[in-house]
Amino acid sequence: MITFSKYFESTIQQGKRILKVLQFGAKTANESMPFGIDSQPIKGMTAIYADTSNNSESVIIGYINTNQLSNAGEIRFYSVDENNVLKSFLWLKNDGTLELNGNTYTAVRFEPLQSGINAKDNLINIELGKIAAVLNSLAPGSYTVTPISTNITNAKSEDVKIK
Amino acid sequence: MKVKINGKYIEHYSALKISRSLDSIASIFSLAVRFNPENDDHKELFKPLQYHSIEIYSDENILMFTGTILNHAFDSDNFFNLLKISGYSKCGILEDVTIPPSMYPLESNNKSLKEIADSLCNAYGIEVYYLLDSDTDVNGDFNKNVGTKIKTYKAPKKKRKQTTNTEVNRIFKKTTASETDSVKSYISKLTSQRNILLSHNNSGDVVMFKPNLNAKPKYYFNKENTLKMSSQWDGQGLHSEINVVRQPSAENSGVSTADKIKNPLITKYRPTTKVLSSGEDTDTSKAANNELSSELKNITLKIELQDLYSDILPGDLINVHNHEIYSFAYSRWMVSKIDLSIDEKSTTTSLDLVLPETYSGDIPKPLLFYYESHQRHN
Repeated sequence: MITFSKYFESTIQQGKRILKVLQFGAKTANESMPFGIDSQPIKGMTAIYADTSNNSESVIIGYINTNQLSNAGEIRFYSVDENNVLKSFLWLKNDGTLELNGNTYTAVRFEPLQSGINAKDNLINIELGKIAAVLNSLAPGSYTVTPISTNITNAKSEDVKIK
Repeated sequence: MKVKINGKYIEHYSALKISRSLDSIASIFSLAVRFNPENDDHKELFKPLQYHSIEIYSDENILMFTGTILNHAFDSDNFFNLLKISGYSKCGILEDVTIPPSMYPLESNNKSLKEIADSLCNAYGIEVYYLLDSDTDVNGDFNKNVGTKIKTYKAPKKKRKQTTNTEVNRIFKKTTASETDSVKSYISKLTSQRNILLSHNNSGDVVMFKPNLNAKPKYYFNKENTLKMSSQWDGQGLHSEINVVRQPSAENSGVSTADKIKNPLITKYRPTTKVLSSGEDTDTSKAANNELSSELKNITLKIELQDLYSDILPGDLINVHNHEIYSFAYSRWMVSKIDLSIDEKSTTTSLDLVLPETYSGDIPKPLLFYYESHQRHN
């Protein structure tokens, strides 16, 4: 039988989340999730309680969400605080954009940024060469150019890729 | 026999029947009594829907049965009519009631059978007795618990398996009662996982026990000392091989998900498969034994006897020999049901017998052999 239940609390045993829910009294059940998804609901959420072929091995197979916004074809991951107030989200939208906590600003690509900064460094170094030529013509040996080189390698996240 | 309702003896009754079954807590009774609507005692004693208690005593004044009256059937016409009352043993209520929400949760974690059964039965004023296997004469000990003396039979301890007490104290990691199942149904599911039987004693309290297969047979019956004997062999309900499978364990990935047991009585290849619906990872083997036991209920013997054999109780062993019912050798059978019937015309006892292995989970011994030179001698 599949019934609604109210989520109360959970513990993790051997990597498995064991949920305590109220379904005709308090019961415990393993949480069933798509592979790799690890989430913990907030107290009071409606959980779907299902029996299996063994009556001591019931599972929670999902929740009735109350913060849904996605349009057709979209998927959205979000977190809330204990009062069910939205705190963060990752939204894969049907127009090809991916929103991370909002859409006011735009994400930066590392490589084009690095190329741009390198080009800017080159331009500055050329201009510094010109400045050195003028200064040294007025007062020989007064200015030696130290080429500018901006290193942003440490800002690069090798593990996160974008288009 | 004497009948007492709500503490008062009933002077006149007839058509008394008591039916007791093994692995059942609701033995049933019925009788007819004279109801005088002008008698204030009768108005109180026979008032319907009061669930009055009833006690039935032997002629030696030994308490045999304690029950609850459930049904009254009154008739009125031009003839003298008797009031028919019927009901079941005191603990029979557990067959009718579910666990009330006030006793939730339905799930029990790390509790023993004893803890669970005590909690549920005590809520209805019913005690539970757990019999040590090494002392088990089922019926003797039933009654010893309430101080009534009945002859007991004890088997050698050295042949004993695990005791019932150990089994009832063993922990269930997790077990969940259904909201709509009766209390008895839930307890029965738990006891079946431990090969423990449910019954009741003469005070109507629940008794958990394992039948004593090593006890001495109480009686020997053949064609000569019975009114009627019959045997039923339901081949359709029996299989040569019983497989029990369970869903893969979420806890122990290495545990086998299938077990099987063979029934040596069935030589024709007739396999069947059952799904383990309760119990723990390693219970498939035990479940296969349980399924075999359950199938053995398709082999039954019925015996009708003159007079009351009130000393025979469910769980007793009986020796039987009668070529006409395909019992060529002396064979041991276990009483699974006994009906005692008393009326103006006759007093009879009717027995339903099954193979002892039906309640032990063991593989049945050869039963259908015969000798070509075997001559009828009974």
